[in-house]
Amino acid sequence: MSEKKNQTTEYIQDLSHELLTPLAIIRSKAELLLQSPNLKEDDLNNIDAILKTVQRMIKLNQSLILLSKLDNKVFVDTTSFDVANLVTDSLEKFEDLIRMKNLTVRIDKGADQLIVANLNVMEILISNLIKNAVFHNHSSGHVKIYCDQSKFKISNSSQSVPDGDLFARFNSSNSDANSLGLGLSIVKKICEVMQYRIEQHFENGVFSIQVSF
Amino acid sequence: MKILIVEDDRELLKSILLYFNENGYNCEAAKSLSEAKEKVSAHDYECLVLDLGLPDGDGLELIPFVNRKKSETGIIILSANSNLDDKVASLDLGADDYLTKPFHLSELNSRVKSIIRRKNQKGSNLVEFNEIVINTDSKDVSVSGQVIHLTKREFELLLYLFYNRNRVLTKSSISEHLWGDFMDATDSADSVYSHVKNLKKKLSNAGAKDYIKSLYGIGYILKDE
Repeated sequence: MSEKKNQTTEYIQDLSHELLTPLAIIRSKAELLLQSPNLKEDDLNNIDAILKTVQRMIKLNQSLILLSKLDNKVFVDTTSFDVANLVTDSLEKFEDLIRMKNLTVRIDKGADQLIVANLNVMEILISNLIKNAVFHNHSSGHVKIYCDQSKFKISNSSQSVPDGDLFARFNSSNSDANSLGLGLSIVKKICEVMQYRIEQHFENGVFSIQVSF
Repeated sequence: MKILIVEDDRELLKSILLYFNENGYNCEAAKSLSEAKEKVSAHDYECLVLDLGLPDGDGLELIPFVNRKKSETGIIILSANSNLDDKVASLDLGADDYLTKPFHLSELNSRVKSIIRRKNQKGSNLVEFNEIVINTDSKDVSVSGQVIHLTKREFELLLYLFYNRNRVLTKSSISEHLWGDFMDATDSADSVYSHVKNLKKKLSNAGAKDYIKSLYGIGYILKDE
């Protein structure tokens, strides 16, 4: 990486860090306003809109911090751990949504699932991929996961394949303004930094992503 | 309940003090490490809310200082860094909990109440709200003595509403409390709605009054009538 780019990403990292306290202030003031007695429905809706907008800014900022940290190769220390355990832990976060969407989840494991990597980074990688498979699924659909020491593969039923570069930043086929579509660009960035190969595939209503470590 | 808030940003400090004073806490404030050291050596606090990035040093330096003096003081760290290592280091040094900025005031309030309850009510794990009794240890909930079965999330939801009773909680604050910050707004609103609906049903089936009110689809409030 050139020194100039390095300085820019460090600058972005510092700036996004500096934004945390102002964002916390705006959120806290709106939360306090919400407690005022005798608010009319319009007032409540306005305060709610402020809170939702701040929430979007906070999420964007978190992504910025993470992307610049990845650019700056902050996550260098590695440990040895069981990738299947990480998958189970990540799935737990989505269990309510999986139940509400009535999804069938199947996990297959290879003979050896012990990998050496940065735990923080791997956790973000796997939860983002699981999140994508759960959120862009239809009700009563399925999620299939395979993992071993050399790869992680996840596939899900999907109504349509997203247009364009799926891994481009800020791309989301879901036009919902609150869905940021940053998850997969983070996945792509992690694979780039860790030198993992990533492939995507769509066939017969099944979308799959494979990461080879 | 005496609490010390150590935070160098004036506006954030004011917000915390306002929210907490209305919750019946007796709060004091310190804007620097030296001021905080002075206060903890002169007074006893039940809980410390401690920002790490202070103008004259790292907030973590205060932890051994407090614990040497009085072990019952609960400590919650406020940090700008969501890094796992920082969290582990703070807890290793003797902090009880760790919250990343920017947090919801209702989340901070719920964590402070939970810590104070753990430190103070020796032996008793019961939280009471009229006919509703919550056992925070066994996770049992009863209405007028009759035990009801709640899922893990419904239990967490009830306790969160209880700790923030008479306060308006938005759906996104509830969602973040229950599932962390990975949920998108649309999905989280649906999940929160269905969990509140189920919780209300279970409580009213057991004969509890309708304490949980919806506010124009924005959020919920647990109100003691």
